[in-house]
Amino acid sequence: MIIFQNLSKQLFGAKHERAVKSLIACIILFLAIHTAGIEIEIAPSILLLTATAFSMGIMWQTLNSSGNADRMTGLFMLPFRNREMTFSLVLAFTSYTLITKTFLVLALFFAVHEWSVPQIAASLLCTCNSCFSAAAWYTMTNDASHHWRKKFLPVFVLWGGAIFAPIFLVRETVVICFIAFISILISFVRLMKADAYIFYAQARIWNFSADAECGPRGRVGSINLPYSIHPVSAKLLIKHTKGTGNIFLYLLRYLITNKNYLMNTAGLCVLASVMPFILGQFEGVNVMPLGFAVLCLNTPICILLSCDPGLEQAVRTLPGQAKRFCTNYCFFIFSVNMAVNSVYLISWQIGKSGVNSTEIITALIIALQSAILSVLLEWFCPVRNWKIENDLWNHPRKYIVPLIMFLIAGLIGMWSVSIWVLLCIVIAEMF
Amino acid sequence: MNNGKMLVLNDLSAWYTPGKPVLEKLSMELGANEVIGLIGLNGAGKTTFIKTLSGLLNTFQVKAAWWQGKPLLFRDREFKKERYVVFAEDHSFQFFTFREYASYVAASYGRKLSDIDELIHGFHFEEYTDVLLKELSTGNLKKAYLITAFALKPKLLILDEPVNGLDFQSTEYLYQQIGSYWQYGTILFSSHILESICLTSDRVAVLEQGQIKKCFAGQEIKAEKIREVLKE
Repeated sequence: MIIFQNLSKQLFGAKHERAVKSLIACIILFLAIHTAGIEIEIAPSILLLTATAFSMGIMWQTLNSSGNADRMTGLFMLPFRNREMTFSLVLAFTSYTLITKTFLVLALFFAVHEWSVPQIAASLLCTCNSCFSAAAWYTMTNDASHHWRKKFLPVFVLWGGAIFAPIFLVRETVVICFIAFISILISFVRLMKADAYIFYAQARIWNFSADAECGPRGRVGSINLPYSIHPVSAKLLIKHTKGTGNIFLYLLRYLITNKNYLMNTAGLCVLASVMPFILGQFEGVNVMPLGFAVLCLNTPICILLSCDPGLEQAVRTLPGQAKRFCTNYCFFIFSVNMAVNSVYLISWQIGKSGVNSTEIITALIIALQSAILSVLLEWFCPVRNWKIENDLWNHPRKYIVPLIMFLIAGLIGMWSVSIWVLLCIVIAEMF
Repeated sequence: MNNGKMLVLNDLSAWYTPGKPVLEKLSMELGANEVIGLIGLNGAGKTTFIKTLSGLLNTFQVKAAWWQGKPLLFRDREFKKERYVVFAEDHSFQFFTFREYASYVAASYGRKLSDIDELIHGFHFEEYTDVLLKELSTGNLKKAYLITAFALKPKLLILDEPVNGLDFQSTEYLYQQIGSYWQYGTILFSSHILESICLTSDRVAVLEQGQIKKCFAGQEIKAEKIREVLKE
């Protein structure tokens, strides 16, 4: 209990003020939308699917957060009971996920539709199941024994399939709840056997251990790690002998090393390949620019200064960085945006055909405008005082640029001449 | 106004929370080609002073600040090009190797790095020059930034706790470098290790509660005397 209290104080603040703020935000959101009388017809399975998938994703991100190592060092230094530590960690991260993230989404769902008490209870059960399952999978994928790591993929597919199949296929709340309950029990059994150090070791690896006594080949930390999963790909561990201090290359390494950033980009590529078939259904309206705006939602790469205070300190201290660093950073975001846009354009050409030069120019201009705005925001208004990386990944400021891009895309869709106005603005911004 | 001094600061106050100044009307003059040691207990304001000088802190007030006879803005590009800072805690550019980092810094300052191979040898850093900084230990990371600093040779070199994390040999080599830096410019360095201050400084400023409590110069710099001031 002491471990849980300690961790929750670190996550929520000394007086749990963060939890209180989040809950108040949920209540305000619920009351605002409910009072406005907005009603949307939503199937119960959609509520349960959202509750499950969203919580699972956030819990996974939270467990992988790089700040966890600092948070846990003091705890792991003290003598502790393994199970108590494991469950305290899982409970603390579950509370954090639910209170600061999931409840906001649920408040939105509860506000726009009348749900019965069993449906609300089922959604809460699903969120808990997601968090516990994610924690159990996390312990498997990072387990010291090859036995679990080898079996992780089939177990993950089966277990995940068992959770999601009834939501998609059966759509019966009772069945979904029953499966969720069984899944919680299995997670509980797995967590009982898990080594608590898994949570610390992995977090420590993610933290790049500045205080690690490691040699040049990535031996991590002064602790003897049985866990061989390393966030740095083998290619990055070799010596880099031809480097000349190129920021674009630096940011590319950053992107390749960070699984979350890569997954986000890969996810956008998948979306880019599917989106033409969805947007293409709208006849008579130019919806293609909206797709470009959606693909600018690669928000993690737009907060690289915010999430690396060390880098920000150096960039602000060295001379001439407003030009040298920001130009390269802008080019990097533009390149990533354009890579995803290219998938979208190719997919559009295959599925719908008729991609012309104006649309390619539109893709270029929207990608560039999004990059410029993102860098300007990072330079003049970085996100600071965040507790864990998850706060950053879900910070509302991240969505300012995508919102602007949506408005711009809407304008271009309605008046195609707007693209040339935007081109002039972009040229002006560059000088 | 500045009596030939390189850097003059009059009544510098800095704070993180309004009404609770960490530095309070601190005044300091740095001459050209000298080594000034800044010593103080934990919380005396050493790092805050260095962060303010580096332009990282914008919650400050200064009555007068001069750099080489001209009014000084800490964030001014020309001033930045004349100084380099090695922070006590620095995890910047973790995805660069040392050589890439040094090359990037040199390009940012618009100058070439000199004596870099000699410095790499002196700090026993040969094995780590082409390894990403994120893979280096605390001591080796510190060496990377120190080598860059001494190879860059700015007019004002600011070192915050430079000895922290260094091994015995590298510490001695660092003392040598600090001692011979007068050829290139001025060093302002903070430390809470008396030995490092006494061995290398031309002047020592004792910082206490955000103010310079006492200054020692030349023969006055003795560990016992400084210890007494710190104990008071």
